[in-house]
Amino acid sequence: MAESVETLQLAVPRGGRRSAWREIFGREDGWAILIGLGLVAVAVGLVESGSSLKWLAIAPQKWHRWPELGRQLRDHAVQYAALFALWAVAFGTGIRALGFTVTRFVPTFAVVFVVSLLIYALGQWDQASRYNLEPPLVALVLGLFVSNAFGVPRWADAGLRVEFYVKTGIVLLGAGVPLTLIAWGGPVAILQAGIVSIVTFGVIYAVGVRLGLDRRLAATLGTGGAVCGVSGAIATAGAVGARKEHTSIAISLVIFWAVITIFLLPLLSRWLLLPTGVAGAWIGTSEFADAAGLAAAQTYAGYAGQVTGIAGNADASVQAFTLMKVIGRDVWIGVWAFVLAVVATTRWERNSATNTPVVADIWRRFPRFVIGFLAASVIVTVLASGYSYAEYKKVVQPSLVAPLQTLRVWAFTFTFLSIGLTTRFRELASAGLRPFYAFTAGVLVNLVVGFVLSTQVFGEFWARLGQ
Amino acid sequence: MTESRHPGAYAAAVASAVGQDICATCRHFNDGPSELEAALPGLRSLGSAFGSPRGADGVCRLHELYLAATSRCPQHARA
Repeated sequence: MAESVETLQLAVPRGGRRSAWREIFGREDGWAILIGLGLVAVAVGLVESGSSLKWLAIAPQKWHRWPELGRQLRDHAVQYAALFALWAVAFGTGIRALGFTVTRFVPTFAVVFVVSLLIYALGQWDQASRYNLEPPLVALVLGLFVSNAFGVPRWADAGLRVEFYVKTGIVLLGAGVPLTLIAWGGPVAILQAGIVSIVTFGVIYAVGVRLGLDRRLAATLGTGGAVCGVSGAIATAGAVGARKEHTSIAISLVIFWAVITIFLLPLLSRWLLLPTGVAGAWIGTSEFADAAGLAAAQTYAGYAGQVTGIAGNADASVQAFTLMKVIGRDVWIGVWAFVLAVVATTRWERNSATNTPVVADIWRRFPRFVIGFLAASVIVTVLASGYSYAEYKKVVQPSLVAPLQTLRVWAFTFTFLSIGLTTRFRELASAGLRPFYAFTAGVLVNLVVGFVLSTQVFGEFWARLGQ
Repeated sequence: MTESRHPGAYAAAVASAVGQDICATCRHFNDGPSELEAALPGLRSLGSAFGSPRGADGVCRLHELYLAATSRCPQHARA
């Protein structure tokens, strides 16, 4: 029976600065912003004083024979040690604040760093693209193999924080995305993502209900497929009061399809020789999770200049993905959860517990790291506006943007490896056929609609991004 | 591993608006991030209980529901 819509308008919670501090820094988002913007601020300060973060932002360079790589690593050993110390202190401080034990974080992170270094170096081998050794895929496959064949001890979780690493990387990514690009591409991304999100949610929900699924499960599956993967699923599950096992089912299906599409989307895009901007937009539209999508988008970025017939530069793939996924889809999590909470409260059969939708939850669920991404873009855009184009290419690009880009690639490599090491297929809930069919219907529709919008409707727009 | 409980001032504001008998103040309600990640396999793989989108949601051990901290039920038991 329908009831009148009653939502709660909360006054600003009292509790002083201590509570606000806990709210921000008791979450990964707050720490990702602090670390990402902290690095941007240091980089800007160094450039303004005539120096650069280049020494610390070390990464393997192109190599041909093993002795060359060995020499590279030996010559820069001190820099790699300093870079490890920087990441370990930055992430370790955040991890400690989140309640993990630092003594468990450090050894795990040391392994993550060393393996990431080897994967990064492998990607710089001049034959890597010939053997399809794209670093994101190598990191993912290696992690999946180790995790599923041998297992990873539970205590290692402290050093395998996928979301913490990816959010930090996205904040750093903001430094390489001019504000003008966000203003130019943002509205199109929101429009395209809005269309796909509504269609995908509608398909999953309608098929789910038709197959007899509980409406709360259908809505949780729908948001997981349409908005933001696992984050979208748990936001809706909490807002509508889903059963615990239904939440697990939604998470399992998101992971199952997200892992498949990490490989599928770059493969199809490569086969179709899509320009990098177009492929990035498609991946941003049709991949479910930020971390998984970045693995696919960065893989495709690696094809730029390597695979004949693929137009556009490497940055365009990741930039289009970010505009589509982060600006177009992620920021609406709170709105989806709130609207569905209202619907669940007023239209659906009652649960054993009832929720009063809280308007403040729209902000409370907002993925705050997006603010860090935008802030990084503003900082670098403002700084760059004081330089001519020639000066920008000579000073700002190599001394500021490039080192931050290198640090971003490190953060993403930690992410891709951690996805594999934390994904244990045996642990995932058995979804059952009906939820699987409902979610899969949404995946298929999403892939087709996302492809048509990215290549036909807005194809020229996204292709221009990479030129 | 230590756990911090997040609702804090937010839950207090909700409780003062709708009453004290919300899940955030119930002993059946568990919103510890690490415990949620253990209870929901896969959550930490491509998501997280430590991120903003979770809000203050948690698991009700009595009803086996995943709920917002502002939910209520007749079986509320003050922590």
